Amino acid sequence: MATEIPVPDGQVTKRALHFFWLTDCSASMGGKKIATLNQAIREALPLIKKAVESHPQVQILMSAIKFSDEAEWHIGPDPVTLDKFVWNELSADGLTATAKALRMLAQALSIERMPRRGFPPVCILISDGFCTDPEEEYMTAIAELNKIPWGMKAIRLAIALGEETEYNEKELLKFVNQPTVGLLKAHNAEELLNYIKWASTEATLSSSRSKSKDLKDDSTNVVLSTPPPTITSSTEPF
Amino acid sequence: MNCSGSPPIHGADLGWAFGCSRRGASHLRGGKPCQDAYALWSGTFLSAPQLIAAVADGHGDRQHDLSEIGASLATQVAVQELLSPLPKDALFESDHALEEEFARTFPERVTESWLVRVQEDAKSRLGESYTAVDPEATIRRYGTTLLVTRVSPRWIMLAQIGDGDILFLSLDDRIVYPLETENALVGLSTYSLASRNAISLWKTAVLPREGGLLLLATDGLSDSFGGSDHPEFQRFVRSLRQRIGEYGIGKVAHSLPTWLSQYSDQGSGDDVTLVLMDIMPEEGGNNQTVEDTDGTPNRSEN
Repeated sequence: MATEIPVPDGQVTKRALHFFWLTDCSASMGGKKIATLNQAIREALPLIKKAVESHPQVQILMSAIKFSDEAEWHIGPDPVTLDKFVWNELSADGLTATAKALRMLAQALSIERMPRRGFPPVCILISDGFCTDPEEEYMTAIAELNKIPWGMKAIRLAIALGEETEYNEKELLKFVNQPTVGLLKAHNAEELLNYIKWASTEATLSSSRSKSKDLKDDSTNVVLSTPPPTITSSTEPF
Repeated sequence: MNCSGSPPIHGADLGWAFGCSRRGASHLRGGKPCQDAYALWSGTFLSAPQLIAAVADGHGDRQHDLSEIGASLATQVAVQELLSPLPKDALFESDHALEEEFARTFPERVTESWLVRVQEDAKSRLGESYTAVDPEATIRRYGTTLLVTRVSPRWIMLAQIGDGDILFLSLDDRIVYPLETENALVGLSTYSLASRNAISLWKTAVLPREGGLLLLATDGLSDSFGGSDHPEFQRFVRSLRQRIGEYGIGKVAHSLPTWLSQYSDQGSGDDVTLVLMDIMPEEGGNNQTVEDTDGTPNRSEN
């Protein structure tokens, strides 16, 4: 009988798909908004897991940045695998330091911090207000994201909460790089639940499907399908 | 292009080589073919022993639906071009002079030869419709990377377009990446023989020959260990040499298909191709030659 040779050393790993939540925890997010956000992210996790079941070569690594007066890691900076990811309750207070959160994201997406190989990261920004950081700071953060390779490659989506007069649509759209999706506008709790679930699963699936290699000179970002129309039985705004 | 059983082993006075391609786990699930290919050649050319290897990774995207053909053609033209690249290379006094000449001539010739072969294949495969469609789009259907090496008594010549790994494990256990990392490539994009400016996208190097293990692999392998420069990938490479030392080339070659399939299944999901060359030091003898090399082309493709 032939001698069985031990498999060579070296830890085998799947290709990483980095998923970033960027959540507004400013005072205006208090009450129903933050409660729905907490619930929706928890409910989205098993859906994301199910969505990638047919892509076993994908390992989802999750992180979350929360922002109010400042931006800080809610989960991170070391990402957590989906199996170990637990969404701890967020509370709301303070201002809306969106620019600081985007700068943190840009740092996390830098080539020094992210493996060069892998699926396009998924970044979902959820906010209900105007950025209270100086506009220049916001524009610098967006420019940085648009410049770094993973910032360009990432699937960047934003969900706005509340009435359209309550948030800065133009500002949030600068973060979004999916023209077919645009800004997802959640007017009530049900829409927020639906959008968080749709955005997180659709973006994950689209990123996972992008495994097929393409030419550098022809490469385009992953393009998501148009979101389904929001059918909601709720008429009660936030 | 799915290697089964033991990979062929090629020996020469310079050392030995073997390789293997395995269809990726995600390709198996999706009913896609193995889009990798490799070719090995050993023999005597211009009175000197030569060991040649080429590895290609056809792109997986739908627009590259003939990429497995493109990859196979690429390995064939690579061997052909490496067998007559610089007939006077023995006259070069420095690796720098040879490197310049190699960088100046090889990328253009291998790219153009590949384009000719692709156009011939497209004509025979697509018939009249070939002329009716956009020629660039047709060429893109065959898109592939290509990694090559030619080992001669004095030099190790290397060239690469697109992703994948060429690395050298020296006798004193140093891991060297002889070609520059391409910083512009992130995610799963790659340069390609089908790129518009392919000739300018090649990286080349010429090293003085020294003993060690030379590895050429498609990215499906290193991606299963966290990437080219990941410590776990380097651990794998060193361990592979230990296995060869401990169990011998034949047994490692026999185990390689199973290992590569396992890496794809538990790791990247991609097709995986690995060519290994154990290069003897200049003054050393080769006591592990498996096949004689009498100058007759001794070629294998999978």
